[in-house]
Amino acid sequence: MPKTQPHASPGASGGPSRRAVLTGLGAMAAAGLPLATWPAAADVAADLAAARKEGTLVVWHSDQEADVVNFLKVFTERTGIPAVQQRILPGVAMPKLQAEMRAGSTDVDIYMNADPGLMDLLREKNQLLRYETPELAAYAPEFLSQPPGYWTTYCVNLGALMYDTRTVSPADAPKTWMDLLDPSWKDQIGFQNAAAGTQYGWWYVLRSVLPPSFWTGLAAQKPRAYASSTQILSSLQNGSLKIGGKVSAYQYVKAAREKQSIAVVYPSEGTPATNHVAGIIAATKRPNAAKVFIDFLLSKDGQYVFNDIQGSPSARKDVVIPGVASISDIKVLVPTNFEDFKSNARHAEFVALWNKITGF
Amino acid sequence: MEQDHGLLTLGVAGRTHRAASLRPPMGAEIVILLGALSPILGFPIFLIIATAFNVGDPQALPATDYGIGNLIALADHLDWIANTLLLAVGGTAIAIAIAIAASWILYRTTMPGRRVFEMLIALPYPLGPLLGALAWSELASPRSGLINQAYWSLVGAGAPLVDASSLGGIMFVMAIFEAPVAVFIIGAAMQRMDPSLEECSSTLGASSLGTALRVTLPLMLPAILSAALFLLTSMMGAFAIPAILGAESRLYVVTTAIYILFQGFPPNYPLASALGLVLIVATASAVWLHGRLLRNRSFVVVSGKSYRPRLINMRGWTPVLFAFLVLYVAVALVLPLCVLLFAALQRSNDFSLAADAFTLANFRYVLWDYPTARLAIGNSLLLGLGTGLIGTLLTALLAWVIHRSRGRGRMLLEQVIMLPQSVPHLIFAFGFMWAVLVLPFKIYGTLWAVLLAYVVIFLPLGYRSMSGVVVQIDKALEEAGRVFGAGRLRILAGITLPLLSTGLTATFALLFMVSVREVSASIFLSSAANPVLGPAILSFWDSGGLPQVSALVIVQTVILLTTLLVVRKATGGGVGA
Amino acid sequence: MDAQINTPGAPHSYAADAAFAAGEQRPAAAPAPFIEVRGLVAAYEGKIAVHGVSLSVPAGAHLSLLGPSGCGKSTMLRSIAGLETPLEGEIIVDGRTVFSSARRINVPAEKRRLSMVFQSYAIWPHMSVKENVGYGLRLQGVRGQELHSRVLAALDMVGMAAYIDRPATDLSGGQQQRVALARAYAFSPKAVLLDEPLSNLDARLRARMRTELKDLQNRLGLTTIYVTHDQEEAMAMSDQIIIMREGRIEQAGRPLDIYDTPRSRFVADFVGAANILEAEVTGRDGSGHILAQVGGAHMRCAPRENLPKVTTGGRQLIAVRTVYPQISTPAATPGESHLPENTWPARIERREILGDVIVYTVGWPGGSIRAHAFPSHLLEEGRPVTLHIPPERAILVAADE
Repeated sequence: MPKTQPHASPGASGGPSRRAVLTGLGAMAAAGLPLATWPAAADVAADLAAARKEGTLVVWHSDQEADVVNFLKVFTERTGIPAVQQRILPGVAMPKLQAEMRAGSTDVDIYMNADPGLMDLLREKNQLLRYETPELAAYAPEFLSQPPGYWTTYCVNLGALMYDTRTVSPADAPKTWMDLLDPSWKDQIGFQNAAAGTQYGWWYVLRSVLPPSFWTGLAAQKPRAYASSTQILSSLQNGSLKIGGKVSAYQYVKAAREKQSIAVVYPSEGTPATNHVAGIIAATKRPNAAKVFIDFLLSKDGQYVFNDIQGSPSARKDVVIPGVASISDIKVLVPTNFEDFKSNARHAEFVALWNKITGF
Repeated sequence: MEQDHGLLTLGVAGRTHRAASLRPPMGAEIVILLGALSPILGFPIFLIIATAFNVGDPQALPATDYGIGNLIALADHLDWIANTLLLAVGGTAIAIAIAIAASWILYRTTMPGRRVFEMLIALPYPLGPLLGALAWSELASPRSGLINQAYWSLVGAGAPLVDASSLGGIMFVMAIFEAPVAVFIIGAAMQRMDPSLEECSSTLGASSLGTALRVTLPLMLPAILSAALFLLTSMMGAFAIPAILGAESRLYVVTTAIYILFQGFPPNYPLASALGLVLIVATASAVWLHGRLLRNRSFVVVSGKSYRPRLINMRGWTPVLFAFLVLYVAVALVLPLCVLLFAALQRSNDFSLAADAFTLANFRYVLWDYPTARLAIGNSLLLGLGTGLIGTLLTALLAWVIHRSRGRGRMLLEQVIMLPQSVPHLIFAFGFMWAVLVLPFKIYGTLWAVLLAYVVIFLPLGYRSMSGVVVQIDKALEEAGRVFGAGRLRILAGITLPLLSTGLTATFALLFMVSVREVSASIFLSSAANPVLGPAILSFWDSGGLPQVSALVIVQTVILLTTLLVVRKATGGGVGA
Repeated sequence: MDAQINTPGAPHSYAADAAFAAGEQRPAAAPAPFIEVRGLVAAYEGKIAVHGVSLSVPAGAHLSLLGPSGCGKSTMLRSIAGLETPLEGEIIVDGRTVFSSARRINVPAEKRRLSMVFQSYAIWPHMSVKENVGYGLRLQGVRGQELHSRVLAALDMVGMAAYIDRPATDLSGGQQQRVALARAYAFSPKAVLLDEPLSNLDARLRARMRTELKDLQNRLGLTTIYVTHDQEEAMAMSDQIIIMREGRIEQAGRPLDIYDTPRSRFVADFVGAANILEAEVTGRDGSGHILAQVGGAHMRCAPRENLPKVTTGGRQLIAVRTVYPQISTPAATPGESHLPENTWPARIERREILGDVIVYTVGWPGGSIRAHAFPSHLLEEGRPVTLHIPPERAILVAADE
C-alpha cells in the first residue's frame, strides 16, 4: 500500500499530540489543493481548523443509536466538531443514498454499516472518498478495502446465540447451530430481518458450513424477524422470546455489565463475524471533518472508546477491551470470496430466502 | 286571440340555444388552484402507478419497462392484503359499535359527568397511535405482557389471557384508538336530531330502549355509515399500530410490508408500488362510496335548524352505562398512560416492581443526552406550526373560493382537494419522496419536504373543517359589504376574516395536532439532519429499549396534551378532536 | 288604460315598453325614469330566472316586485344591485348605464351607490351598531363628528338611537331590521333596494314595520324597489306593482288597478281573494259589456275589447273578488223574472266566522261563490238570500298557460 504521509505516531494520551500533527499536516495541505475533487483529495490530510468550520458532521450507521450517540459525544469533546447520527439499515440507506446522489442533494458525510459488500459496491460506483488515514497501518489487510482507504473495519460483530437464563436453563440451551432445529424452540427463536447487514453476513458464511436441510428446518421453526439485536435482547429479557438466533455478541457484553441474566453461546461450528466498516461519502460537504472523524474512529484511542461503549472486539490487535472476547479467542467464520459476497445476486438470494424463513 | 297585456317579454323563441352557455365560466381563481394542486397531488400518485407496472430495473425512476408482473407477484402475498382488509373491517366494526354506544350515552341520556367524559373520550385520538401501540404491547404481549403476567401469577402459567399481537388484539387496539373520531361524527348527528321523532315513538308506547333501537338508530344510519367509511379508509392505511404489535407474531399488513420492502437491499420498489396501488384502489373505493352516500352534495353537511335533543333518563341502566364509559376511558387512556409511565421509569427491559428498578434516567436521556429526540421535538413543533398556518390559510382560501364563487369548476376542485384521502399516508409519502427526488428542486431531506407532504395530506381535513365554517356564514354579510361600497379585498379583511376567526383557530389547532402525532407520512421524508418525532419514536423502538421509547412517547403525549389545553383555553372550550 | 299591447314577434320597442311599464299613458312631460331596466335576461343556478323583463321607476317612486318564490323577483333586484350579472339587457340608474350587455358595461356593485336591505338583514355581528350603520359612510370618506352625527340621525329615524354603541350581537330580529334600514338610508344612496325585508318578522311586527317603512319613505322620498311575496305589503306601500311569474311580468300597474282589473287568473288569485268562474261567452251588448253564461246563470260582465285566453277546455274565466258579491235578504223571495240584472236567488251554503270578516259560501245558479261580509249581521247556513254581482266587478281574466 503506497503511503504518502509519514505514519503519525499516536501519543500516549492520544489527543493533543495527534492534533498537533494533524494541524501541521493540514497547514501543508491547505496550500490550495481542491478538496472537492477526488481522488486527488485522497492524499490530503485533514485540516482540523477547517473541519471545525464546516458545520455539523452527519453520520449514518446501523449500530445501536445510544452507542453512537455516546461515541460522538466523545468525538466532539476531543475535536470540537459537532456531529449528528442517524440509524439507518443498509437496506434503507443504499437506495436513499443513490436517490440523493442522483438528485445531487445528499447531506451525509460518514457512512458506517455492517455489510462490507455494499460498501464495496459504493466504492465501485465512485461514491466513496478515498482517504488513506495514517491509522490504516494498524489494520490487517482483511479489514481494509482494496485498494485501501475507501472503507475500513471499525469493529467486528460476532453473531452468536443468546438466551436469558431465567427462561432457558443452560443445560437445555442450544450449543450448536443445528441445535436450533430442536422442536422445543418452535416460535421461540428471534433473528434480525432481511435488511440487516449482519444477518446477511451470518447467512452467507453459514450456508457453506451447514447443510441445506438446516435452512428448511429453520423455516419450520417459524422464527421471528426483528429490526435490531437490541429488540431481540429486550424480548429475551421480558420473556417473549426464548432464543436469540443471531444476536450481536456485544449485547451479551452489555447485559453482563448490568449483571443481567443473559448467556451467550459461541457454537462449535463457528461464529460468523461481520465487519462493520466506515467510509466517507464522496459527495461530502464536509471533507475535513469527515477525515478527522475517520482518523479518530480508527485510531487506537477511538477504537477503544467505540468498542468499549459497544462491547465488540476491535480489528486492531493493539486494542484490548476487558470483558470482551477477542477474535483470537473463538472460532470465527468470515467470508472468503469477497466478490461473491458483495454481489447483488447473493443479496437478492438472501432476501428472498430470509423473507420466507421469517414469514414475510 | 288577444295577446296578454301584462307580458312584456320578448319572444322566447330562439333563446333556447343559450341554455348551454348559461353556466358561468370557470373562474380564474379556480383554474389557478386546480392547476397548482393537481400536479402536487397527482405526480406522486402517477409515480406510484408507473412503478407498480415496472418490470425492468427496480430502481429506475421513472420506469422503463412496463408489465403486470408485479401485480401477479402479489398473489404470493395475499395474506398481507387479507390481513389489511380483515383488520380494517373488524376494527371498524368494533369502533363503530363503541362509538354508537358512547355517543348515544353522551348526547341522548342524562348520564352524570357527560361533559367530562366527552373530553376524556376524545383524547386518545389526538395523542396518536404510538401511545396505544406501545402501551398495549407492554400490557398484552402474549408471553410477557403485564396483564398476562398478573393473570399467571393468579392462575399459574399457561395460555395468555390477552394477546395484543394477534389479529383480534391488533383489531381491538386500532378500534379503541380510532373510535373517538366516530364518536365525533355520530355524536354531531345525534345532537342535531329532531326530538319530535322520538317523542312520537314514545307516545305510541315504545320503551326508551325500543325507541333507541327502532327510531334513533335508523335515523343515525347516514352518519354511522359516514363514520364507518372514514374509519375503514383510515384503518386500511394504519401503520404504527400494526408495525409495533404485529412484529412479534409475524403479522404483516400492506403498510408494514411496504416499509420492510423499502428496507431490504435491493429494495423491491415495484412490489411495494403494486401493493400501494392495491391499497389506493381499496381506499379510493371506500371514499367513492362515501361520496355516493352524500349523493353529490358538497360533503359538508350544512347544519340546519339546531334542535335541542331530547335527553333520556336511563334510570336503572345508568350505572351500567357509566361503567361502560369508565371502561373505555380506562382501556384507551388511563391504562396506556399508566403503563407507559411505569415503563418509562424502569431501569431495564425487565420490568419489575422492586424499588431499585425505578429511575428517571430515561427522561434525562431522551430530553438531554439524545440529541435526536430534542431535535425531533423541535422539528415536530415547527412542522405543526407550519402545517397549521399554511394549511389553515390555504383551506380557508379554498373553502371560500368553492363556496362563494359561481364558477363551473367548483365541485371538480373539491374532488381534487379531497383526493389525498384516497391514498394512505404511507403510500403517498413514498410517492411524494420519489416526486421530490425526480424533480429538480432541492428540498429532499429538508423539513420543507415534510412540510409540503403534511400540507397536502391534511388538506382534506383542513378543508372539511373550514368549509363547515364558511358555509355557515351568511353570504349576505359579504354582499352587504359590496353594496355599501367595499371592494373584494376590504371585504375579505374586514368582514370575512373576522367572521372566520374561531373557525381559523379551530382548524389551526386540528392541523397542528395531527401533524405532531403523524408517523407514516414523514417516515420516508425525514432525515438524520432533520428528524421528526413520529418516525424518531419508531426508529427508537426499532433499536430497542422499551423504557427509553416509553419515555419519549410520554414526552410526545405531554406536548399534545399541553396543546389541547392551550387551544381549549384560547377558543373557550369548543374544539372537536 | 293600456297604452300599447305587445303582439308576439313584433319588433321590440324599448320606449314603448318603458311607457307600458309605467302602467298608464305617458304624458308628454312625464318625469324621466330614475331606474330603468331594459330586456333583462338573467340566470340563476343554471336556469333562466328572468326572461327579458323591462321596467322603469320614476324618481321618488316605490315599486314593488311581487310574486311567488322562484318568480325571478329577487334575481331582478340583485341584478339591479350588481350582485348578479345578467346575461342580456341594460340597466340605467340616474341616467348612467350601469350594465349593458351590448356595450359590455358592468359597473361593480360597490360603485353603483345603491343601498340594499337584505332578507336576513346582514348585520355584521363582529361590529357595533355604529360601525354597521356607518360602514358605507366610512367608505365614502366621512369621518369623525360628521360620521357620528349622520349615523345618529339615521338611527334616530328608525328609533334605534340609543343603541348606537352597542355590539350588533345584542340586537333582536326586529332591531336588526331597523339597523339594516338605518344603514341603508345613512348611506345617502341614489335608490334603495329591499329584498323581502319583513318576511322574517312575526305578523304583528310586520304590520307595524310596514307602516314605519312607508312613513320613512315618504319622508325621505328615495326611489325604492321592494321585493316581496306578501301582497298586502305590496299593496300598502307601492306606487307601482309589478307582478312576476316564472321570470316574466304577469301584470304591472297601480295597486288598485291591479286589484280591480286583474288580467289573468294568476293575478286575480294572487292579489286579494277572488272567485274564478268558468263561463261561456254568449255575446256582447251595445255598451261593450260581455254577456256570459255561468252554469245556469246569465251574467253581464265588465266591458272588454278582446277576449282573453280560454282554458284548455275552451272555457272563459271570470274573476269576481270576494268582497264584491252583495248578499241581501229581501222580505220575500221575488220570482226570478222580477230580479234585476246580475241578481239571482241563492242560499247560504256555509259560513266561516274569521273574526274581522265572515266568509259565506253561497250557492247560486252559477255554482258556489265565496263572499266576504262584516260580522255585523250574521246569516245562518241554509238561509235563502239574494245574490247580486255588479257587472263591473265580473272581470274576464286569461287562463294560465
